[in-house]
Amino acid sequence: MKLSRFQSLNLLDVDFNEYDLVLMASGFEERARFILSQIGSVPASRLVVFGFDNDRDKLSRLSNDAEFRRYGAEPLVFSDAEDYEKVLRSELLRASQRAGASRAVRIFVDYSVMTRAWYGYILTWLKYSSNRGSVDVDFAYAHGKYSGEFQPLRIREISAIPGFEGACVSTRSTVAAFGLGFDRYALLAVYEQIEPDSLFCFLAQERLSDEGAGQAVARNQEIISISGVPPVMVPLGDLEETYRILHEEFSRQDGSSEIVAVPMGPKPHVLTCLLLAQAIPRVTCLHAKGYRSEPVQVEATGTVSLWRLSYR
Amino acid sequence: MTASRRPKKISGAIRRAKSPEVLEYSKELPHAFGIDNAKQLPVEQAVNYFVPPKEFLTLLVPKNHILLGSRGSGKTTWVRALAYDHVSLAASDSSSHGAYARDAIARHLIGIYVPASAAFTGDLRNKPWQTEQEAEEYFTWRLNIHSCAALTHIIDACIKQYASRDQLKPQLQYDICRTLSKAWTGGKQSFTSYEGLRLALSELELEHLAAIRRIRTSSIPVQIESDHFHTDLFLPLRHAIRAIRAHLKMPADAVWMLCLDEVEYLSEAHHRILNTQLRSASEDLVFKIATMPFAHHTLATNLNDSVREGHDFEYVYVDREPIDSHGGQGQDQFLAFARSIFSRRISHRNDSLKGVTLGTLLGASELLDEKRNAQKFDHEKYMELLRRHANPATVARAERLAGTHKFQSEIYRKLNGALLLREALHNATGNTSPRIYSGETLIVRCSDGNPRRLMRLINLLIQRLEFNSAGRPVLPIDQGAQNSVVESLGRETLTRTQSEPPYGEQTAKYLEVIGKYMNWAFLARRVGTDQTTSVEIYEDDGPVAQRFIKQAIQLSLMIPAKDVPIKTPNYTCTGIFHLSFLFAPLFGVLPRRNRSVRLSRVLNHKIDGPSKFSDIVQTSFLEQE
Repeated sequence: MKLSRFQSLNLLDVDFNEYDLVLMASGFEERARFILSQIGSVPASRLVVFGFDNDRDKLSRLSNDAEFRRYGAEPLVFSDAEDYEKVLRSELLRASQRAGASRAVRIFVDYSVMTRAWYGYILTWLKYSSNRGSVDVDFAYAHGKYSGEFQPLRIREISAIPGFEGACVSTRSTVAAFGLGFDRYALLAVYEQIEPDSLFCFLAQERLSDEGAGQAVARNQEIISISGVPPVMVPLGDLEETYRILHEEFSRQDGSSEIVAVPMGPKPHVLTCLLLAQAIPRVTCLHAKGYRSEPVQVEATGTVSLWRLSYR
Repeated sequence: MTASRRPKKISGAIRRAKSPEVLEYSKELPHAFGIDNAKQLPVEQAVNYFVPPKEFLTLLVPKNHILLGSRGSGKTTWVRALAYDHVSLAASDSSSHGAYARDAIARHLIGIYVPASAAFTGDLRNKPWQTEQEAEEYFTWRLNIHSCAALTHIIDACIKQYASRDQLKPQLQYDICRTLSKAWTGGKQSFTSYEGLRLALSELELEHLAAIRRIRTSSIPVQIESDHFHTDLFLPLRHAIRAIRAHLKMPADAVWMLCLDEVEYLSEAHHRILNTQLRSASEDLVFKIATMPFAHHTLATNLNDSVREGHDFEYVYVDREPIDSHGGQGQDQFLAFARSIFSRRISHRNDSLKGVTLGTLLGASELLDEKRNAQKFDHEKYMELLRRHANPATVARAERLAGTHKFQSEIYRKLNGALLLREALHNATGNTSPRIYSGETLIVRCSDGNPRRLMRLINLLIQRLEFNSAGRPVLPIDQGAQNSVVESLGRETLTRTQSEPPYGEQTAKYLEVIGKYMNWAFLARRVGTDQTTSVEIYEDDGPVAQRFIKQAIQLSLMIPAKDVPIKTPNYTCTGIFHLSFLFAPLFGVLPRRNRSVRLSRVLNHKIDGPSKFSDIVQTSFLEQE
């Protein structure tokens, strides 16, 4: 299937009884249960919650788990990434069967605290599974506010996100697209490892005087300086516009180069990079896997970005 | 709740940041003097800027080599310089600069450079669901297709070199490309250009990636269709080489050198597969494999017989020993290299910097240039310095030796730098910016024999150049600015090390503790003739110390003494290790090599009250575990 359309939705207009699958995630951030708290009711038989295997008693994790249980869903926790994929595969198949051939499959994904491997798998399934019907996936993101000092990421490994490896066999140069967040040094370490031939950065800016954007610029001055060009400013929650701007920027790059996207900023930017990697064959999405010495609490600001991606 | 508040649409083309902070940074070009990473240079510049050290010439023989070098030491430059398109271009330079290339051509050594792109290595590491056999088959398939893609970049240089007079070069290109494209696509497609060949390989790659994704998302078993590259490792490359040989009149003794870069990012299983190739290499295909120290992960092969150094391959060390603190720096290899690479790069500029030398750019070093200081020698002032900073025994000895030959060799030479530095550090208080860490010799020394670090420093320094009203550069660059640049780079390097995989946090904490200890040892006590500049690490320091020292060596942040072997896989790394000179300005120590202390002594050193340095390091260890 191919991505055919973006559509902005309002969470208040959504009827959760119409979904064939509602997928959420429980982690240590308080915002993990924010969207759940706003939607009133959701059929327990269609609600699937993934829990992270680590930090199982940190910050808001226990209360998040309890809240999901109250809605009838026990967070599923596995030690092996493959087990999450198995569950996803069977739930997506079940959702397809539930919808039948007469209408589009409807899936809701709250990816506010989700790891990119999970929502990346959904995108891979949408593009490559043998399902030949049509699917509407609603991606919801609760904007967050960090309420603690952001510890540097200690990177363990840098690898491609499964399913988002680009064609690189005939390229002799690398362009890196770095999505900036609040971590000052992680991207510099990534830069040292991948040694791109050229580089551009992008970051979220919601309005002209955006405090968050200013902070991200201040913390990433060195990598911006290395890139030699001002960063591309993209919206935080407007998936379609971010996709349009970054597609334009990626397409401008030398056609003989591979493009390595390393989104370290907000999740809508990660999702956009994954979508771009599916649309532009030479784009690879890399993930710097690691840990922070202390998890940081993230509270929901109250804003939710909800986008329907239609696959046909 | 303000659900789904859609941000305002942005009209027009791509939005670039307009905030003052960004603009301030963007106006400073990142590579004012030149790119500091060989991987990023276009072919012409890579050839023009290459200064072959004598160890590089040892690669120009038909033998297997494993190049060991820390990050930025020049591994990529070396293996790239062996690629036949680069060699062919370099040989056209009739000066002595092109001599190595003419030698390679005369020996019929044909290099194929296979870069390890981020996507290539990232793709090999992200398939935990593969069985060991599937992972090996996938690696083999990937390397087969990549080595053939790399071959397409040198076919033209081969045609130029080996086409006989009666052969039309365009016809040869046409014939070779047709032959290869038919073989590579199973007869389905025929291309007549190198671009076409690469397109065919790209299409195969995309088909393969899509097939893997279908397998991952399918509930029923899906088979991957086999192609030309699902075969023994390097068999497609060998076939392609035979095809090229069949079209060209190549001598029987021509040898193809497959140059594999950044092999450190591959796994032990991948290294075992490569070792098997080293073990069973044929006479006309040899390997030049670049990796980091301790990152030739195994000597094992898939043949139940390990590879042996000296028999199946030789190690070649890319890291250069930085300036010998006891030797004459004018004769030092790395200083000569630095001057040479600077003059090669500056000769390609056509602006106000043309003709500037590294020496005129940076000036003399007050701290290290002994000749300069000897000319200014004032015995009374020197004794005053000695009395202020040296311990009583040293002062008494100096007074005893005054006027003798031994005063120069045993007192002046050994102590002058330390006294000058202590004086400068004592005076640099309040708003006074330190200036002592400056000058050509010092900047080159703070590069630790690492060309990328050298280029990075020079790039940063050139951005601090000031110009007079006539547009001419004010030389040398201000000493305070030099001091600030090298100190900042040390600080940034230490901080960013925290994020380096796999043990960056530990490594950064150990480095910080060692630097602080050396600063304490230098400033807290009066100066004697010995200063602490290095640490000793032994097996009983434990596995965490091993992780630290190995990663620090790989990043060129600790420099092993000459007698420390760094090649054997899983080797317990013991001996004397010097703190990188890059950190000298940051920690306020002398960039010299002198006395060493046990790492355990550094860790047991008390800082504030009952706290020890080991408490800091231990915290990081527990977090890491």
